[in-house]
Amino acid sequence: MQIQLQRDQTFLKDFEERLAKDQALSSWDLFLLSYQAAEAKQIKHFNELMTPSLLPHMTFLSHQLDCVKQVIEQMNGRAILADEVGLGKTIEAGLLLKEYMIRGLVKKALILVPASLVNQWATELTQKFYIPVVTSRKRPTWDQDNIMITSIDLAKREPHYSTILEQQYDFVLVDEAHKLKNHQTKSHQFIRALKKKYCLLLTATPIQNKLSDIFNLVSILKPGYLGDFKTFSEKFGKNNKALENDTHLKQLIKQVMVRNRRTDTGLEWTKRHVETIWIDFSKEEMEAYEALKELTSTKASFAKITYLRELCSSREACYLSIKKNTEEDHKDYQDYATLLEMIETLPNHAKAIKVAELVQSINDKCIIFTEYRATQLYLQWVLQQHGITSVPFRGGFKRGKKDWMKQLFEHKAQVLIATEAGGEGINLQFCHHMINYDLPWNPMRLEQRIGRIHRYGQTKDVHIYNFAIRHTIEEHVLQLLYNKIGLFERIIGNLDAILADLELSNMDKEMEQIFLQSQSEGEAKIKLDNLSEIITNNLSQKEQENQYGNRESS
Amino acid sequence: MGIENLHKFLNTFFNENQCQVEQQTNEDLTIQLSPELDEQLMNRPFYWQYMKKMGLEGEPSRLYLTVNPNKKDEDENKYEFIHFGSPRLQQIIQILLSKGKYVKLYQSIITTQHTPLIPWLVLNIKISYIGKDKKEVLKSIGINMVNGAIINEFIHAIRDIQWGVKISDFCYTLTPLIQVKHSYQRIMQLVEEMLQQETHEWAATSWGKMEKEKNLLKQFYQSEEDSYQNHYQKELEAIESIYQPKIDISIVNGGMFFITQYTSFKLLNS
Repeated sequence: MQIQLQRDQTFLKDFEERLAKDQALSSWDLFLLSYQAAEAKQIKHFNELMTPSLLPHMTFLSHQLDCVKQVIEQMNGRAILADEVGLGKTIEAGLLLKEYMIRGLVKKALILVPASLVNQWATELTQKFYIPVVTSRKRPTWDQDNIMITSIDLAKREPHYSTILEQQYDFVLVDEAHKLKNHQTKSHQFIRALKKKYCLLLTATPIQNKLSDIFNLVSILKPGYLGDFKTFSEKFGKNNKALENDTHLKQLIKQVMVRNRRTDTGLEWTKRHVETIWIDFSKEEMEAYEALKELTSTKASFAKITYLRELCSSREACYLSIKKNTEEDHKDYQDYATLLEMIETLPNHAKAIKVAELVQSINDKCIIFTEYRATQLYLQWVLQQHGITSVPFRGGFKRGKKDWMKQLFEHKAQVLIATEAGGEGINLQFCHHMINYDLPWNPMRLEQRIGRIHRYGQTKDVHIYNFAIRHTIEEHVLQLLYNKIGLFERIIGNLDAILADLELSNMDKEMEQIFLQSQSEGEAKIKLDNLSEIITNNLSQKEQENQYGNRESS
Repeated sequence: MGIENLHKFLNTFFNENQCQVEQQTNEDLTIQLSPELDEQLMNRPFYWQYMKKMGLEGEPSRLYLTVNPNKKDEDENKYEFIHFGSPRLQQIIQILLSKGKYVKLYQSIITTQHTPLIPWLVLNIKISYIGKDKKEVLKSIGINMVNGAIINEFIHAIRDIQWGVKISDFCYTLTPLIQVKHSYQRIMQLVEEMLQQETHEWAATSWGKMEKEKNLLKQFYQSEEDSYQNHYQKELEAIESIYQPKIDISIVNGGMFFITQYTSFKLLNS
C-alpha cells in the first residue's frame, strides 16, 4: 500500500517574507478567531454527515438521509438514485453535492438536466442548499471551477462537446438518466467519455423494458461490475423476470442503486378526488358549434380541429384564431364571415358561467388551467364580474414575474389562471383545488398540471375538476382517453417513459391525426379506443416491472 | 474550542476589522462596514471600481445580522439570518483564514526590569486523511527556538495570556539559535513521525477497494469490444481519484511568539 503525502508548500516562504518586511501580520484576536474558524469547519469524522446541521431551514426525511449515507459510505459517490417519483431525488442529490463540497472533495461539477428544468434545479440548489451555481447561457464557460447546470442536448453539441470532454469533473449528475439506457446513443457515449470522479444518475425508471437498460446505466458508473455486455445479454437478454429470479444479480444491483418506494417511506400521499363536470352548450352555442363543424368538414387543414377545441373553450379563443388565420386569404374569410358574426352574438360561455359558480362554492384557493391565452383573459374578466380575484400565469413570464404572481396568488388572490406553458416549474402545494377548464391532448401535460399541487409536501387531499362539454370533441377525449386510462386516479411516474416507448411522445399530434383522418365520428371513436387500449396495457405491464424493480431496494 | 458563541465571534471579527458595531442585542448586530470589508463582503465591485476611478471615497454599507431564525421586523427582511451554514458566515470564515494567518506577537507585561523574551515558533496544522472518506485533525505545536523544546496543544495553553503586536517596555528579545526555517522543519518532522506510527486502517480499506475496482475494470476491458477501449485510462484515473489514499498537511496559521522565561517554563511543565 502506498499513501501519498502532500506537504504545505506556501506557508514558510510567505511567513519569512512577511517577517523580513515586518508587515501584513495579524493581531492575536484575529489569529485566534481564524483558528476557531478552522475548528468550526473541521471534518471530525470519516462518516458523519455535516450538511444537515448547516441547513437549519431544511427538514430532511429519514429515507433521504439514509440514501445519502449509503451513497457516500458504501457506494463511494457513484450511484443510481432511483426513488419513485415525488420522494425527493433532487433533495438527495443536493445533499450529496453539498456534503462533498463541504468536505472539500468537489469543486467542479457538471449537472445535466432537461432544458426545461435548468432553472428549477438552479433555484433549488441555491435556495435550499446555498450552493452557488452557474447555468449555461449564451456563452457558457466550461473551463472554470464551478457548479454548472446545463442540458445534455446543449452539452453534446459542438463547440461545447469537445471543451467539456477536456474538463476534469469532480462530480457529474444526470437527471432523467433513463435516457442513457441505450449504449449506442450519443448521450450515453458522451457521459461515458466524461472525466469524472463522483457520478449520480437520477431516474424513477431504471429499467424500462429490458434488463440491458440497467446494464448500460451501471456501465457508466462501474464498467465491468455486471460483467461484459455479451455475457450479460446472453444470460438475461430480454428476460424481464430474470432480475426477480436471480438473487445474485439482485444483490449486485443493490450495491449501486438506491430505490425507495412510497410505501417503504411511510409517506402516504394525500388523496385525489376527481370529478367530471359535464356542461351543456346553450342552444345558440350548440348551433354555432354545429355550424363550425359543418363548415370545416370540407377543409383539410387541421385548423378545423383547433377551431372546435377553441370554441369549447371560449368564443374569444375561436374568434381570434379564425380571424388571424383567414386575414390573408379573402375568400377563406368569406366562408367564415357568417360564422364569425354568429360567434360575436353568443352569450357568455356556458363553461365560464359554471367556473364562476364552482369557484364561489369552493370558496378556497383554486388553480384554473386553460390551453388558450384568449380564454385566460376572458376568464379573468368573468371572475372579476363575479367579484372573484385572480392572477394570470404564463410560461412566457420572466422568472421574477412568475415568482411575483405566485406570491400574489398565495397571499392576495383566490384564483390563479394558468395557460399550458405555465404547467411546469412551479410548486403550489398551498392550493388544493384544480380546475381543468379544458383538457390537454397529451396525458403528460395533464400529469404535470396535477403535479403542481399533488406532490410531496401536500398535506391535504386535492380536488380535481375536469370540465367537458357534452356532445362535442371534448366528450370523446375525456371519455375515451382519460377515463379509460384511469389517469386521474393513479399517480404515474413512468407515463413519459411509456409514451416514449410507444413513440407517442407527441400524443397531441397523434390525436389530431385521428380526428383528421377519420371519415366519421364513429371511426374516430374506435381509433381513440384502440389507442387508450395500448396505453392501458403498457401501464399495467410497467406497474408489474415496478413491483420487482422495487424489491431491489433495501 | 470551535465557535462557541456566534454572536461574540462576529462581534470580535468586525471590531478587529475596523468596523463599527453600531447596535447590538443578544441576537442582533448592526454593523457599519469599513470600506475594505464592504468590498470583500457586499459584492459590488463596479461601485468600488467607479469610486476609485473618480477619486471619490465610497460610502460603505451597513450590515444587519441576526442569529435568530424567526426574526421579524418592521423593515421587511432588513436582518439577515446568519448561522453556520449560511453563505455569509462562509465568506467571513474565508476572509478570516487569510487575514489571521501570520503573526508575530509579544507577551504583554508590566515591568521595570529588563526582561528577556524567548522566541517560539507556533504552527496550527491541519492534517487531512483522504481516501474514499475524509477526516481532518488539527494540531497546534510550538517549538522553543532557543533550546528546541516542543509543546503540543500550544494554542490552547496560551489562550489566557495577554498578547500585543508591540514589545512591552523594558523587554528585549533573545535571538533564535534555531532559525525559523529549521524550527519549521523540526515541527514538520515531528508530525510525519507521528503519522508513521499510526496504523491507517482507513487507507488500507480504501486501497483494497481500489485494487478490487481496478481488477473489475481490467477484466471488463479485456473482454469488451474496441469501442470501449479508449475509456480504459479515463476510468482508471477516476478510480484512483476516488480511492487513492492521501494525507495532506497544511498550515492553518502560525507565527512567532515572544514569551517570558517564566511563562515558557510554566508552559513546558503544565
